[in-house]
Amino acid sequence: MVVGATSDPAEREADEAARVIIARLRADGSAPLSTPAPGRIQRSGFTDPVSGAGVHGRIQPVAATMARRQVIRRAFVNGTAAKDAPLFEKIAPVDAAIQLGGDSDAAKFGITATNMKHYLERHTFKYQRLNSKTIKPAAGMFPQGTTVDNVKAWLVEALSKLPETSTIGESAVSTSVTLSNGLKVNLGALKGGKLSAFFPIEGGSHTGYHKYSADELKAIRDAKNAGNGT
Amino acid sequence: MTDAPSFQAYWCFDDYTDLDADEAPCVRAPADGDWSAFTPLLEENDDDMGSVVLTRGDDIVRIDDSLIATVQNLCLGAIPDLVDRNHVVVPYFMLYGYVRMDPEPPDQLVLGDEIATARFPRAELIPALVAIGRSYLEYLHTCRGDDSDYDDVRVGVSARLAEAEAALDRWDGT
Repeated sequence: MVVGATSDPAEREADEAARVIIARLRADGSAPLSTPAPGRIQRSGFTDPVSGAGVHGRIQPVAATMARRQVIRRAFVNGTAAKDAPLFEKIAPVDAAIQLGGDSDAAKFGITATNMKHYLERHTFKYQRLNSKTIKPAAGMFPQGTTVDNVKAWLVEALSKLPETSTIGESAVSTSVTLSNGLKVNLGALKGGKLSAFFPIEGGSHTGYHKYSADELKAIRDAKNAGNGT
Repeated sequence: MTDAPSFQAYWCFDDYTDLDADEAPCVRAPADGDWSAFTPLLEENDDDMGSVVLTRGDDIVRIDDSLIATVQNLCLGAIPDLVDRNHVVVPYFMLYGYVRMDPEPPDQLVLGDEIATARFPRAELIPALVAIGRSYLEYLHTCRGDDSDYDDVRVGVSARLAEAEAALDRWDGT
């Protein structure tokens, strides 16, 4: 497969990452499966971009190139960590707990509490703290401009759309529903009826959904600390 | 001739006491029952974020998520299927994605979102996952025993541990 030249900076960066991997493998064809790939390449989805399907111990150029195509769709919003850094305001999450005691949609699933602080500091551009607690693991992001009231409204809508048979209040397995705005969200409780997780997992470009890997969030944090997007 | 690298599996607990750290250290579960190092970490990490780590030589699979979910769903919940040589797909909890485990006797292929791909010997991997579950239950009793929020977690982990141990009992080890 021939990779054509491109003028897109993000695509050039991904091309270069793929070329580095391929060159390394051509020089040393014995890279183990677990060889850590650069962050952007490593988290390219279910198929391991480094190993290639069914091939043990080798990186396949074609697989790496395919991975590059996947990565481009999921990389930084503006192409680089430095350019994405200004999107993050690092505002301290406000005390925005939702009182769900009287909410029948929550109560019927055994949900007694939420963790709005966590939803905000992990999954919104405005409140992501970019600290050691919030940059890992990978995070699906609500659209830029998302407010506390947006998150509250989407959570109420998500709970109203859960099927009657859902066991999210009893099981450490999350479940997903699609909101009227097209965002697909995951939600689930880990313990004590507290809804630990509420975050977007999918959505067309019109929804503003974006997913960052832990490595990307670290790079954005570093760029922010270096003075970009202050 | 060199010895084959040994397989290891363990779990660790994220330390969020220094939010300015480059990365949260992950404190490894003790083998000697001394959980004192965990005490200062509990309050800041009440979702029990941490990792289950599988290693052999250069192969390292590090599954980062809430341990409440990883231990119940993967380390213990998957054991009956692993013993029966079925494919296992386990969803992450705090992020979107899956870990998959495919039987390739005598190995088990481990792959998925956000992790490296590796093969580990089934005869060592499967009992090691159950051992992690056992260790995590000890942690729940020792470190979270006074916290009623974890009552259902202790019940869930205990039930899955019993099912996993029953599966081990009928397993021929291959």
